[in-house]
Amino acid sequence: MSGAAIEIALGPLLFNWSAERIADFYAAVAEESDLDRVYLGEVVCGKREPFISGPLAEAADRLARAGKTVVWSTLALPATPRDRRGIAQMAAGEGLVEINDISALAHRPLGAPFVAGPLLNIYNEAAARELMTRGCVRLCPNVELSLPAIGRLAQACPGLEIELFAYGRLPLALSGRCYHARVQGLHKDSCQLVCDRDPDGLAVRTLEGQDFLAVNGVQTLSHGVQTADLPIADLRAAGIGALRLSPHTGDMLKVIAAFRGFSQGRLSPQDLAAQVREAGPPGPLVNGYLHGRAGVDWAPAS
Amino acid sequence: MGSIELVCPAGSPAMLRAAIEAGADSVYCGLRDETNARNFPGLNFSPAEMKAAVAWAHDRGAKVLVAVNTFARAGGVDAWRASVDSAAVAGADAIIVADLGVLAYAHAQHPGLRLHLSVQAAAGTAEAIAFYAQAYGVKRVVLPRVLSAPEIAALVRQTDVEVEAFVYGGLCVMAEGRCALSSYATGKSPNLTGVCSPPDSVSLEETDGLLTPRLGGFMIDQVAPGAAAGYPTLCKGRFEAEGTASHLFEDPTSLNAMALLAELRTAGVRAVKIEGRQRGKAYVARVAAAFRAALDALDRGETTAPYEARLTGLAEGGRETAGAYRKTWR
Amino acid sequence: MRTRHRPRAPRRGDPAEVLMALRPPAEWVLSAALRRLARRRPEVFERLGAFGDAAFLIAPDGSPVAFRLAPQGAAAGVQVRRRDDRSPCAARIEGPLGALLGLFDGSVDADTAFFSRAIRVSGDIEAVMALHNTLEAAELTLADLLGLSAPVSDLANATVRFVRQAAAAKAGWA
Repeated sequence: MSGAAIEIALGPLLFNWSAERIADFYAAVAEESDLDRVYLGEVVCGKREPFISGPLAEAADRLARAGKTVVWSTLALPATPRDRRGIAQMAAGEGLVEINDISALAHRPLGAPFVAGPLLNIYNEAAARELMTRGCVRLCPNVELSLPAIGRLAQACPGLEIELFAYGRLPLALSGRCYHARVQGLHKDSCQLVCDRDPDGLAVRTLEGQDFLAVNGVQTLSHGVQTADLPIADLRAAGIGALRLSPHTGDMLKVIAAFRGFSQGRLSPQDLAAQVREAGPPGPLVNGYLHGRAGVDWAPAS
Repeated sequence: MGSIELVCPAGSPAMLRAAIEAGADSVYCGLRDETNARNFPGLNFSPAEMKAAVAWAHDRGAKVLVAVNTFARAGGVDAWRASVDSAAVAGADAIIVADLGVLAYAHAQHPGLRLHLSVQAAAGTAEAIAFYAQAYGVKRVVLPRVLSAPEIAALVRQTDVEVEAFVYGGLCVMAEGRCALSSYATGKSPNLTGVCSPPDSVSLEETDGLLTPRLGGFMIDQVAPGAAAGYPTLCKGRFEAEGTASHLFEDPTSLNAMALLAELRTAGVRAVKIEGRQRGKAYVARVAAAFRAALDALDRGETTAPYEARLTGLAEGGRETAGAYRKTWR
Repeated sequence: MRTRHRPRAPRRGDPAEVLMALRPPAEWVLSAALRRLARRRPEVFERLGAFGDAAFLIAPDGSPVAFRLAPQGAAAGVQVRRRDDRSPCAARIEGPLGALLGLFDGSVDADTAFFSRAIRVSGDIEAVMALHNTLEAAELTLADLLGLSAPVSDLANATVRFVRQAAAAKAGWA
């Protein structure tokens, strides 16, 4: 399997971008030949959905016409009856969907293929096999898993495609509470969607001024930017079949091209990191989780 | 409307006895390893202690619920299966599970063993609960602490599965089991190892009375001389955003929903749960007695008000909140 | 074992020096009691797990001396040390004597004691949790561990008296 191509996938947009920004972003992405698959859909907050569903539907058409595989992603923490209806509709449809909350399984026709997203708690081969019996064809493992752990899981689940969270701020937590609203002294129910001010999340620092986290509405992300710069042979050996890049500001096309080059062995891990830094990531590069260490750590390729 | 079951924590056999003597209907506990979500040093039960504890509890008409509620390690699932087997051998009345793989094993291997869905599974919708009930025969769900009381009432109406809700103790501000803040700073996943903000990654410096807790080197807070300080859990820390320092995620409060017991009872909540297996027998004796008295008062048609002051001083950081049960929390 | 103890020139009138001079019989009694307990109830110390060999310096506020407790292992025992003792130990636990005793006998839970900041801990927090949880689960008191059979309150009262006398003596001598 050493020769099989590693797919490059663009994860769902986690931030509350304007309709124009979304349209421009996916228009550019559609022209990008280095990209195989694009996930679309509001994963973080159902309140954003009415504002972005139009632009995302247009993006889906454009991406599909450009030959990309489009996969719709469900909300991760449904909070209202409307959120639940949205998940039900998406799950009941025929197309490939990414499931980010167990709720969706209640509506998914048994055996209909789906992707298990990183916000589901699938940590081991036994749990992954449970999903496979229900139609799971691909797993993007929880970001806490080390590469050796992913390798063990993949080895015990033949036929399951593994997509690694390879670039972007790490999605660390979800809450019933909206921190963007809380910072502004607003209540979640009248939040005025203030999360639109921070296209990569709102910086959270320690009292000493050390950069640490980023909040994105009800979601908390890392300040550091995951960059899976491990030797490509190690990724292949662990069963990785796809690399997921999470949308951020900065030059995403450059990030996509860098990962394509890296996946094809044209860029070394060091070159990958250098290219990613040049693309203007929203924080320093991190990869600790993949090495079984604190997620915030950065162990440069040797 | 039946009585609500009072479910109390037991970090040791001594604490289990204290909880039951103080009026707990059920206690929950775990084995001394990574398979339960309170894997702190010196805490929990050996398989032999668990067996003896179950016998002791059953003699007194109390139930023992065994938490096997962390997520199994890739390549190491057998340890979680062994814990399920130990709980079954000990005669546990139910096991509390979150991991799909562990649920599947328990359902297949121990069909007579009652399954409760752990709060760590964060099943907060009727659909998610229905999935676990249909796929694994789950009989009870412990609700995530992000739902408001009216939402719980609506949920109970939509499900046949028994509902258990936390009413007292440490409050997770994030959806339980879906939080990696601690591992981002320390490398140890609470979901996998059963320890959030692990003590070996905590440091405390005190200079001129100013206490500085750190987790994995990150400053979590600075506590003025004499001011109350909580265990340095990341989500209860103070951080800076938009130029202002605050308890951004959650104030260092702990949950006390005693005043909402009547509402939860009307909503059809079947059991209420006290957090705090790590807090010892003095704590559980006091909290169990207070909630026993309050629940008995409800059964007599009286108010819980006289019992609400009984727990003053036990709260983390000295402050209490009704948390997400009141929608204003959001 | 009295490794790393540096003899100091006694300063006249220092209550710590007076107590230090009297320590050998106390250490002998306390250590013997601890070892007896370990023989009688080995399961008590199983809970310490990886911290079986850890040592703890327990320093009651106002007392010029502290107790160095090694619950298990080759060096199991209790030693009386000056409270500024800096020889290696897993953790240092300080606070009012009553709070320290309550912490270890389960009448005050660790979180409450810590939240109210009555108890101050430095060093290996995990080791302190292991010690606390072990003692709490064993239904032992710190007085048991120190080999004293008197009820906790008597012990506390006696020690409070002692510490006050030492402080008064110190003030008188200064």
